[in-house]
Amino acid sequence: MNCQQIETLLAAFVAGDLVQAEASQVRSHVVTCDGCRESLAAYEKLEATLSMRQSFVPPVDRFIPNIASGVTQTVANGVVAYARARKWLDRLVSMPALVTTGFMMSGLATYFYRDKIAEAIGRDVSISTSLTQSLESIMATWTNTMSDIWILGGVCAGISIVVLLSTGVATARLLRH
Amino acid sequence: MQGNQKAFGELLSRYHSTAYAVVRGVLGDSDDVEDVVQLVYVKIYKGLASFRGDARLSTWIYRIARNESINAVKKRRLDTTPVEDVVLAAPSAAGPEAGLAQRELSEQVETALERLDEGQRMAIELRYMGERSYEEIAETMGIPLGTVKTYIHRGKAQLKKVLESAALKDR
Repeated sequence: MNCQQIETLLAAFVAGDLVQAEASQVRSHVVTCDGCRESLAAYEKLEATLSMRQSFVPPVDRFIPNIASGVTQTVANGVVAYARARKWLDRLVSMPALVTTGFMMSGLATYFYRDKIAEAIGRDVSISTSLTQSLESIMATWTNTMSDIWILGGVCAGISIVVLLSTGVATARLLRH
Repeated sequence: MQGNQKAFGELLSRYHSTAYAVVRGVLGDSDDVEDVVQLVYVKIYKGLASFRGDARLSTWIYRIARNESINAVKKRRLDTTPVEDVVLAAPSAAGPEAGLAQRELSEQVETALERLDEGQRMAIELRYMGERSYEEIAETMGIPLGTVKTYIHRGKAQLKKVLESAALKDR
């Protein structure tokens, strides 16, 4: 065997993985070859260094007490994930609520101030005459039905408060997140 | 829970060095190794009841440890210095402080290990850090016995080459 062939066997030789015939060939070669003997010494040094790696493994006892807390932590992680999902759900719910409320408020404002808006922009802003008439007839029915105008005012104020409160809650939720 | 933990502790002590070697095989000498090993044990603890025995326990643990380590690399974006850029510490000149020289050599081997292919590195870690036999490594990694030997011998030849070239550079 030449040096190149011996070199390919040295790692297995040091690990004791060669069959007897091959091991004998390596042994007799390194006795007469300085280069291969040097290479063998390097492999032996490497083998000794690698053999020390088992001392890097920390004792298993260090990990055992943390298993239960690790499981608890996993549960806690689940709770956090749920809370995050809820937060996004809240956002999804809050956003349309705000937009809808905004549209309702601007619609009502447009309706009540339609004369002023029409005057300002120079044309009629009513959605349709029939819708306006319907709304007016509803208002008229209410006014006729409820003898006291203050009751109607109270109902309107109540609706406004509910709308304002829900808008406020939705806004607070958005700001909190 | 107490009884379970005791039985689990006994099981772990049998496979601890294997799991640790696998995590080290993927992460190298990183600060995250122990955290990932802990995660692996939590996962094993939770999954043990549903372990069906399709694979050997060592193979199952190997897969969990390897997957958790790979996830850790992805999640935490560990230091992924390209191996070409890894600079090996200069070997110390032979002197009276043999302990220091050995420690330096050990550090060089650590760095050189990171240059190996994953299969070679994993087989070497399982062999030396995990103190597993070739047969056990083959069973754990799910590869033929001959491949394990090839990985280890070629890996060591590669390590020697890297260490020699580092020594030459320093001269």
